[in-house]
Amino acid sequence: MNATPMLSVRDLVVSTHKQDLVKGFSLDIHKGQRIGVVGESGAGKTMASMAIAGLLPPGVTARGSITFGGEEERFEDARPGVSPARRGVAVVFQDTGALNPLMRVGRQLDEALRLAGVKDARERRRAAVSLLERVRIDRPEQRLRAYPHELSGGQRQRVLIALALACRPTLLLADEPTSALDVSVQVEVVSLLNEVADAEGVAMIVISHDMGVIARLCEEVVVMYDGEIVERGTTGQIVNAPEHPYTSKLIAAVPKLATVAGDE
Amino acid sequence: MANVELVARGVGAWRQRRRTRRSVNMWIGLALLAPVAVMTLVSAFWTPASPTRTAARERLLGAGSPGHLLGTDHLGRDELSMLMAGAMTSFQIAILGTAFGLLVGVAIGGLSAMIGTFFDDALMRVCDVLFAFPSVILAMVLAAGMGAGKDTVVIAIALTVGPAIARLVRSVTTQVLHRDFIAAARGYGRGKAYIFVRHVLPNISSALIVTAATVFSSSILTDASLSYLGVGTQPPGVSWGRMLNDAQANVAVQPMLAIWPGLAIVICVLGLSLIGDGLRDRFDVKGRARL
Amino acid sequence: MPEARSSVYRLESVDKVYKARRSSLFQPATQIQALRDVSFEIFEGESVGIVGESGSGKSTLSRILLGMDQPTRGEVRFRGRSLRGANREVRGRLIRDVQMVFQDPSASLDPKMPVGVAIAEPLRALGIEGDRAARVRELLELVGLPADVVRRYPHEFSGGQRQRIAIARALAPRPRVLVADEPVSALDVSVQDQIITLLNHLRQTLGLTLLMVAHDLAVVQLLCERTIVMNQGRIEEEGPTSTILTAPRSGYAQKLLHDAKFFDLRSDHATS
Repeated sequence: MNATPMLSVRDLVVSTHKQDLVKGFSLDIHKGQRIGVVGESGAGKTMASMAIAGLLPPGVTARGSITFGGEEERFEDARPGVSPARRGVAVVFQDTGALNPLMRVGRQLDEALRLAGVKDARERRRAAVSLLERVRIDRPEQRLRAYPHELSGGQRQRVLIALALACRPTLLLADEPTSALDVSVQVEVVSLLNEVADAEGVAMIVISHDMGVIARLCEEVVVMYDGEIVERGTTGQIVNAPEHPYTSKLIAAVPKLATVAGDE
Repeated sequence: MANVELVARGVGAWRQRRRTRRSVNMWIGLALLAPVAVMTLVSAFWTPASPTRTAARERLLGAGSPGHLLGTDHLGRDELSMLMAGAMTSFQIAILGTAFGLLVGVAIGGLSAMIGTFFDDALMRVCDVLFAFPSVILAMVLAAGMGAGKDTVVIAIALTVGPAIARLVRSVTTQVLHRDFIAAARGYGRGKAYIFVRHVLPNISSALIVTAATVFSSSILTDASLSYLGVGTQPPGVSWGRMLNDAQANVAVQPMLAIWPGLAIVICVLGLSLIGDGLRDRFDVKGRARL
Repeated sequence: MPEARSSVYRLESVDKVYKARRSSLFQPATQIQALRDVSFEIFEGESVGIVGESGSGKSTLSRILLGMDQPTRGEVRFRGRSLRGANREVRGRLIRDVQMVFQDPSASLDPKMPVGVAIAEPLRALGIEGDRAARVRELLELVGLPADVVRRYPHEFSGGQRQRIAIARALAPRPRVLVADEPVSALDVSVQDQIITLLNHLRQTLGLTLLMVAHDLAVVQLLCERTIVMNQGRIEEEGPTSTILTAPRSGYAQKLLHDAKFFDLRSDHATS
């Protein structure tokens, strides 16, 4: 870990006019690394990641510095936009309204690829098919013509991953990629994210309230509570020897199968 | 600039811009409407002169004549007083028309959504037929039957906006009915009527308020056109539409007589539309009754 | 399952077919078979998990149990009485005896109704006499919420608190049976734990019969003695939860178990 990190966040504070939602968030992530940010709703994990992506909602401002690909940007109570410096950061959104219900999947992928700078329409179509193949959607040519509601929850989440991959990112930000899905579908999506991250060599920041999901995806974990990072370490350390009481609580909360279940 | 989240951000920024613009619109709308509203209220107690007093010697005076700020019409009636009294007429008709329209619309749309099946289909087809009738033509037919007058206009407005409101109410009600708290209410034995009144109505109230603003502005326009055609308010009653009609004959002599009521109508309709748009955005209402 | 317990529900070969609305006048209406030949019995005081993925028919089943929907074929008996063409008395008893907890409390509570009013709603709807305000206070205490929340609206609470409110409302008419449709899956993991504990506590202190519909065996295991595994409208397997967790027979139950274990923190992947 001596190389310079691809993303370096220093003393990030995110606030509304009323209160600080994130009260100091620092994070380094190296090429190909996967870090999980875990905490309850309202802990500030989503706000921290949205500041990195340049997607803070109106009325929310950020302070601190974000260095991506060697370019540092400092913010003083500003709303970081999607700067050219942070091109290469892509967000995997939750399957709740991130897809336009009135637009065919193909159109949405096409749009994303066009914004990613693919000029030729035929090339975009080829790329769209290949993206769907990479997220293991069967019969991709047919799926391009489908509307989001014609797909299952798991398939929609795959399309959202494909959309994130369209701009050939080097860092994926996955915000609760599995919430609201059946356990079986969660397993599929998590396996896919692992596969994609391996195949594309992208780094990943995974935001979740579920320590079980994080443990399956990330080798390092940052625990957030009330806007602050209360603990960080490798997944093994955090799971087996949590230091902060809040971390212990989060781990204890993951429903466990009874010991009688055994490990085949 | 190339990224997926850029698309998302673009959308967010667009919403934000629209929101601030809408809020500005609402203030402009209120600013336009406020003087008209004040004028209307004052006219209930006081007008510069009696709007019905004719004076043969003071016919067609220009604006700024002594005692007549906006001049007089072809019968020597004070233009400003008529404008004020006309506002009262217009507002009364528009309020009643909107109220009855809402009543009819909520009743039909609500019944349709709550009962469903063939009853729903039948009611909606009836609405489609009524909806296809322009309110002006409907009013002419009504006037032939029950005579011209305020009541005819109110009924014509209610019958034409009612179906449009019914459709809106039906669609928003159906949306609310799909939510779990309705299933919960059925689960502890609440009947449909109670569910509609206690759960559906409060949850569609913002859509209704927005619609009321839109309907109100179109009612003013309908009233003006009907009075202009002679179907609406009858003499000696004063209305903006009739003032326009009277002014038409004397447009060569005193063109300003057509401008004043015209301006009043435009200000009201524009102001109410802007307020409706602002309310729509404030409540984040998506549906819109086509009128 | 001791035989001495009285039967609460008995389902005999229940089928449910939905007709999808025609997409065109000239196309035949498509049919969706949500339940196929479903038979089981539930006894007083039991806690039973109905497990399956979305689309397995478990939500249809819960609607039928609540009497909101009628089976296409087959018989549903509630305390020995058939629900088909049931009279007012049987229906009234069903409504009083069986209450439901929904998946997402932000959807199952009317956003425009204050919490206190919402909790008292079943009492008013069912004409249950007595000091309603006192009953609401009692219910709030039962689910671990302070009594002063009655005037507030659902959006002022966290997800876990909202689910507590929904549970309080369901318990208001003193039901004997609670049907819970994915009661924790919309909540944060750390809150799920608390709601599961609460449901267990309520079940024991009030002697409730609990029927929980869920997709996660890890959650079912914490609440249910018996498990019914459903797949594509059919019962795949049925038995004590511990048996299904240790020795699942059907391939589908094995897959569900494997998936539930995937996120278990104590398996070796996390310790590397």
